[in-house]
Amino acid sequence: MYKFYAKKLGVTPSYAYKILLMMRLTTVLLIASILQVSAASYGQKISLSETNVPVQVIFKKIRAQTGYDFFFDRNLILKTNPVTIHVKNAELSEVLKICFKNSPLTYSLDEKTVVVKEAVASLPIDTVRRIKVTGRVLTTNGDPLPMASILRKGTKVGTTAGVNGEFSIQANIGDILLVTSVGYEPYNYEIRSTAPARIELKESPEMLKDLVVSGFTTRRAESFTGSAITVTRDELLKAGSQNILQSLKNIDPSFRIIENLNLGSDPNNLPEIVLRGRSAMPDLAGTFSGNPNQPLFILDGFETTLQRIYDLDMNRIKSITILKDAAAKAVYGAKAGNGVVVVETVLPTRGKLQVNYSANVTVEAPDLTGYNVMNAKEKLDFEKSHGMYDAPFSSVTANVREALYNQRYQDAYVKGINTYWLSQPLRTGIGQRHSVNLEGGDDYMRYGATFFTNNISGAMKGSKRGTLSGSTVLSYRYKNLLFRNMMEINQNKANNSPYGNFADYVKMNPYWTAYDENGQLKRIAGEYPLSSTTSDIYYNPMYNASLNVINRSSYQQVIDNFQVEWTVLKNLRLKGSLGYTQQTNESDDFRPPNHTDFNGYTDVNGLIAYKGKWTKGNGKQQSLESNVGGDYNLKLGRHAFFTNLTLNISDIKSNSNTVVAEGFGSDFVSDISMANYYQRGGSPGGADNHTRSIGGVGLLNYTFDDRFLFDASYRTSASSIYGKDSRWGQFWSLGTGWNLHNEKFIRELNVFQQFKIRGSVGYTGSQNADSYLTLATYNYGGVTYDGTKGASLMALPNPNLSWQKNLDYNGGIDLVMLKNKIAIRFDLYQRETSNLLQDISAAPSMGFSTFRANIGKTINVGQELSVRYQVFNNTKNRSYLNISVSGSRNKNRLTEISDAFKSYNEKSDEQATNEDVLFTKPVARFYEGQSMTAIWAMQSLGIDPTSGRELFMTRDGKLTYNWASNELVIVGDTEPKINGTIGFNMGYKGFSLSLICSYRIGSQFYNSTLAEKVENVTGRLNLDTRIKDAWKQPGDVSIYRAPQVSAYLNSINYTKPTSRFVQKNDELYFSTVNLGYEVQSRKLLNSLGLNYLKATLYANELLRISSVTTERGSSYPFARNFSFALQTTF
Amino acid sequence: MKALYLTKITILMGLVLVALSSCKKWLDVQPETRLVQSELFKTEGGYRDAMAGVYGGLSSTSLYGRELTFATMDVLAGYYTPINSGNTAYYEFFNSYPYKRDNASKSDKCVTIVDGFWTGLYGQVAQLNGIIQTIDGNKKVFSGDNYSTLKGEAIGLRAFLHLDLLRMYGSSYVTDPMQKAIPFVDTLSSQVTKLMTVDEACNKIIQELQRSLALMVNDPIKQGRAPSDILASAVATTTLAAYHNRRYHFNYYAVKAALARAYLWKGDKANALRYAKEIIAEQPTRFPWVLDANLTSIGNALSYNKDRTFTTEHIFALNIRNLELDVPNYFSSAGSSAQNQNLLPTTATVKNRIYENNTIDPRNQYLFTSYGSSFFSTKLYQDQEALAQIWFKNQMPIIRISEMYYIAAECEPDMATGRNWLNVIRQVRKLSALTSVEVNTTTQLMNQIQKEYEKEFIGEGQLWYFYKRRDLATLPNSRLFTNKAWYTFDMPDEEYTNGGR
Repeated sequence: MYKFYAKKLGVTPSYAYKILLMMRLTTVLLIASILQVSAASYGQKISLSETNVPVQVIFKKIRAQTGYDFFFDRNLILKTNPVTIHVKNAELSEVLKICFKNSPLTYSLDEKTVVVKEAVASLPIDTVRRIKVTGRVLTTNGDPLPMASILRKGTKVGTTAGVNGEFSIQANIGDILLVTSVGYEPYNYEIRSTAPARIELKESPEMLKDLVVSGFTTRRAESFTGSAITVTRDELLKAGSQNILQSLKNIDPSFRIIENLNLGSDPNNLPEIVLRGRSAMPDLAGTFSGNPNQPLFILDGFETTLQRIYDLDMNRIKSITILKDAAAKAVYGAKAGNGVVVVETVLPTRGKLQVNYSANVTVEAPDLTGYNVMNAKEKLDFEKSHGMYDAPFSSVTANVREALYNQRYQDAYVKGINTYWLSQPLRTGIGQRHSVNLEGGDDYMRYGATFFTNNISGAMKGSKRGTLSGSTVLSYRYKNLLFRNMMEINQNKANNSPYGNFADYVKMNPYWTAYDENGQLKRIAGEYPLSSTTSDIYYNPMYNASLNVINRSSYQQVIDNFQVEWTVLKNLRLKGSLGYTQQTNESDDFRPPNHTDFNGYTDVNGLIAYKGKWTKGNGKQQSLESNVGGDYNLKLGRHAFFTNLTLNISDIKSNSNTVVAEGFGSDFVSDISMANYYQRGGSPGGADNHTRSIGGVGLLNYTFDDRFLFDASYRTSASSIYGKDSRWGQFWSLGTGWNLHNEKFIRELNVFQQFKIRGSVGYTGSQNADSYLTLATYNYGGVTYDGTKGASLMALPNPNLSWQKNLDYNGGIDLVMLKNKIAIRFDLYQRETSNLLQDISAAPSMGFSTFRANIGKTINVGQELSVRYQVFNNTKNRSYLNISVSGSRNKNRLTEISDAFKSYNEKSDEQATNEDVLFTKPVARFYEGQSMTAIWAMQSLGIDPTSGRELFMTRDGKLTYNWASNELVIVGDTEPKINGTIGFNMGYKGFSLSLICSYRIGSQFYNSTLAEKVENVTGRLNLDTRIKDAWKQPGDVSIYRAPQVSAYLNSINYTKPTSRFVQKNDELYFSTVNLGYEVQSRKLLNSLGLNYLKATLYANELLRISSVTTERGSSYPFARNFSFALQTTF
Repeated sequence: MKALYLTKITILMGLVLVALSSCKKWLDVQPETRLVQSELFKTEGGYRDAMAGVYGGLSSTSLYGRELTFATMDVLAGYYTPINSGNTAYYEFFNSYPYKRDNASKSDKCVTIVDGFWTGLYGQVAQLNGIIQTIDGNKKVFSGDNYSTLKGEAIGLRAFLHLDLLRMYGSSYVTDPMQKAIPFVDTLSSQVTKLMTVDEACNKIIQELQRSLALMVNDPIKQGRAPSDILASAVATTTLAAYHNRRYHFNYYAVKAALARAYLWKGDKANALRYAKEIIAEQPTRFPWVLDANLTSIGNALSYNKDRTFTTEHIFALNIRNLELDVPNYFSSAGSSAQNQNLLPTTATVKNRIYENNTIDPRNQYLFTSYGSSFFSTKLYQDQEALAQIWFKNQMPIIRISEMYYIAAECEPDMATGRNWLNVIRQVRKLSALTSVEVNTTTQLMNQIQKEYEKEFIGEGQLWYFYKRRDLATLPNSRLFTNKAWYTFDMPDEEYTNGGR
């Protein structure tokens, strides 16, 4: 009988191990190259005489003489030189010594077997004695690490840790055990005695990148086929200091915050987030609760709100994973359509009490670039030269006109009045943020507590947002059970500026003043006489701010998350969790009786008693969620399986009420109860949403030899939102990948540390819809008939409504090469969203104007690329320089559309055509095959130099002076062709500097400022200085038509949406620059009693280089943000 | 050991499965700020509330609360010379009837108002369908005769609304009964209902009214019993029996009156006469004539004590809460200070022509107030804070008993008998009885009937339908009416585009 034992092997220590060895060998027989050696006689001494023969020949002879078998890899043997040997009755060891003398091979003996292997220089070969070493693998926290791999260094001999991290291995004193586990730094353990080893692995922030945390499961990135990005806390802090969302935006260009040109840097405005483009149609009828494109946020395994993430302490973050494609997000099935952002917070570490403290001082400085308003003299000259003291005031006598001009001339030229209104409501807001984290405990019991306070002061006076939060984590381990409870209480108070709308200040004339001669605030800033009796009155916006205006909102939140983990077997783990959140909201909006809103309230119309108005809102949100599931790991040779099965159930409820009261006798009231009346003709308002869902998800990951990867998942879930007839939704995903870097032919190139190709396809749903769409619901509206309050059916019920479906395709490449110097990641995707929930126009004879149905389709196609280059990294003096560039592009297209949008298009055309409407923005229109963000305007050829009128081109190429809504064409798209970030970070001996710039190329922008402040003007309010370049007389070449000023608003021919104002919008934006220093000297730290100290200086949203000059932040200005941060541990 | 774990896991999974299987109900979430149909209709009170919702909807200003009664419909009939300023649309109506689709210079505002009739009435039809579709399944929640009466009421009202739609959007029966007119919508769904011809629609309406009549034989107003609070409110009155509260609902007699109207619209005089006479027979007990005491001295300080709409004569009326806020804007100088002036004065010429200068006629004597050289109708004036007389407030007559006499007069095969029916009303209104000298031919009688319609229905929106039914080529009080096509409204654009009409 032949024994086929040839393979590159480690040392075989014992007989027991031999069996294992044989099992392993059998599994690889088919692929290994084999050599067979047969036995002939069984003598102990060897006699040989050979010259220049291959070593195999010698082996054959030895076997013939001694009966020893040989294990070897044919490829290895090829490395040996031919052997010349002449011995007589020599010992086996002597013979073998000669055989391997000049070769890179060595051997070991095991019973009757000689195992040939590569020589490892550092390790002495001692095959004789072995002891049993036992121990446990734990995290630095003392948590057991089942499945950690323990390997005798330099060999392939190893084992995996059991349920409680326990292991045992045969080794020698002095051997080194290499202990590794995904997500932890590798650890070298030197065996010094037979005492049980206690090996603690440190969780490494770098190693976090090796993990994909999906909320339900944590998986090795190596075996993952989806597209996901993991961001660590360090990276987050390097990318800005404002909030988590801002930092994420600076890291991943596909995670976008839609810039709000209206609300600017208002700290109380939650940003609108879009991940990989918009798929939902604009919400025309309030079908959705909130932003229909918003990704799903998961915090520590439970669904959470955008608000919570916005207000969350960045120091508590452990990692954030953005799940983008089907294979990554499908576990969230019905809710994952817009992508998923998974946030994990840090858990307390073991040890004696440790305190982490971080403090930030933040400065918000208004950024008024883009504003080009006239000064007092310019404005008055403009008015004079445009005849505003002649013709427009036809009904005012010449004397009045002259007197008005003279007085203004006096003010502007003699008294030198030049009020810079823009600065009046603004300030440099200084805010503070403190975060304290206490932690400690032992292997069994662990505790952590955080306290966080964040006070943001906005750039407008009185605008602020304060968060106060406290949380505790307690965990307890009993055998292989782990219990953990997190409890958190948050409180938030948001105050909006009493100064109101910033736009009101921008338009004030600079020759007006806010204060009179006595330094008292004026109620009326100025007026324009229209006739001898009437005039246009402009109130001083500062006046209202001086009153007791209240505009605030607040919330209180209590959260409790409970988790149990049961490690049943070392490769089977069950998990259960229960999360409860309760939030109460409150809002107050009070306008005192003297507010200019109530100017029309007089004795004559009987409204005098109704001055003053208080709107109070109350709301409550409650959510209860539970997940139960288990992970199972199995490794069979080179086949590795990972499965997870999770069931989840959730109940999310919210309701709100508003009450309005009127009639306050005084400005100085402090509560709605001081009102005299409820709102005239009004009734309390209310809304509620209640969604229940239940579902299960199963996923399977199979890898072969860490080379071929395969992922599959299936989810089924039901939600109360959808119709009885289509309540259950089925979602699945398939993914596959190939780790080329584990292939020999790539490995041999010695270039790539990672080379992975992956692809996935799958379905997910979106369910940001209103809760009661499908039901026939009645409300008790305003009507009372014959003494009975009437109930009416609210909408045509549609029991067939079902999930919005997204079909995602994704392909990608991950490359890490040249000794980790360069990392490239590229993704290509397409998302097809169908079954869009839309309002369909009904035939009015059905009794309703619309009904809801699943109709409509959008397609998003895009690419994402990110490149990181490590210029150098010297661990010795901690110096490094990394450069990174990323870019993404996304194109959306409507492929199917409902009639509701057709009538919407008609209506918006109607609106645009209406002469009375001051049009500053092009209207949105939706057509099949077109982008949802297209800019529709009429093609303009510019201003005709002879007539000063705008010349247009119709769709069929004819020239005309007349604007018409049916001649609108697409003249641009507000979505950029490419947007992304460029950045670098460098460090030297504790200093660190990083910069991230955002850029966008290839988008267009409709410059509303030009429409609003240069052309569609009455001349009565302040203007953009660019109006001075407008056409004045024949022959002038200008891009602006002659300003039309008139005493009568409706006698102006407004400039309608025209391609003339569509500008290329390319910009480079310094999102964050920060400089930090981490104290290196232990001595210094010790003398301070600290373990760690780092100071960082940030400048966020510093500078914008843009091809467009426009007024940004009309209701609330944008602000630059500077902050100084201190982090310390003691 | 392993087996033990396995058992534990199996038990756990089993529990989850049990939980899953009972989740079907759990997923039926009940909203808080609104009511799910099945919850609302768990009691008969829910049906009452839903009916109140329908009547409330019909009372809106875009329907019987204004446009279908005293405003648009009566502007079309030529009662007023509207004064417009600002955004009002009535003048444009009066001026050129500019609501037809093929009119190049049509007024969008007028089209909007006319479209509102269609969308508004079908909106309430849908609400009724919501009631009718579920009522059989919830029969057991009703007590007494409430089930059949309420079902009959809903079916009857649905037919009545379709009759008004037909009278507006269908061509007059005499011109073309085979013309496509309106859909008779009797299901609540997102399916489009097909159009019926004028004749088909008439038959369907009559058939439905008959069905309703059969269900309502136990209507308290017929039985003379006090209605349960499901069928009418308990608003007390010192002068009238409690069953009269059923007049705010589409009651048994309203069904009969609607049948008389429908048969006459179709030209089936025999049946129209039959139903008119059946109601006339009950007039003395059920619909007594207005008392002189409630009319005289309306101009005095105690004017709030007066019965301007002759409430006792209403067969079906709407109880409109906000009428007192709306009416002054149109029939008093208060309207001239409103942002959009919408005054509806009647010129002296028109008033005198209609009432033939007869100042004893209480309708002429008491129900006008002068405004410059013109007059305002005061029929819908609302009494101020007079709780005792709430019976006279908030009344919008939809069908009144006098119409039954006019129908009888028109339908009697014998002219003299017809004249007698007309004379009954004339005498109640203090006019002399017509003699055989004044009226001796059917044409003469018809002319007198028309005059009576003109006198009787100002502010009620019925005259326009009379002209349409008679297919008059010119209107006595509106010289600008020149095209009979204007009698027929057009369906809203959305009905064509979304309904595939």
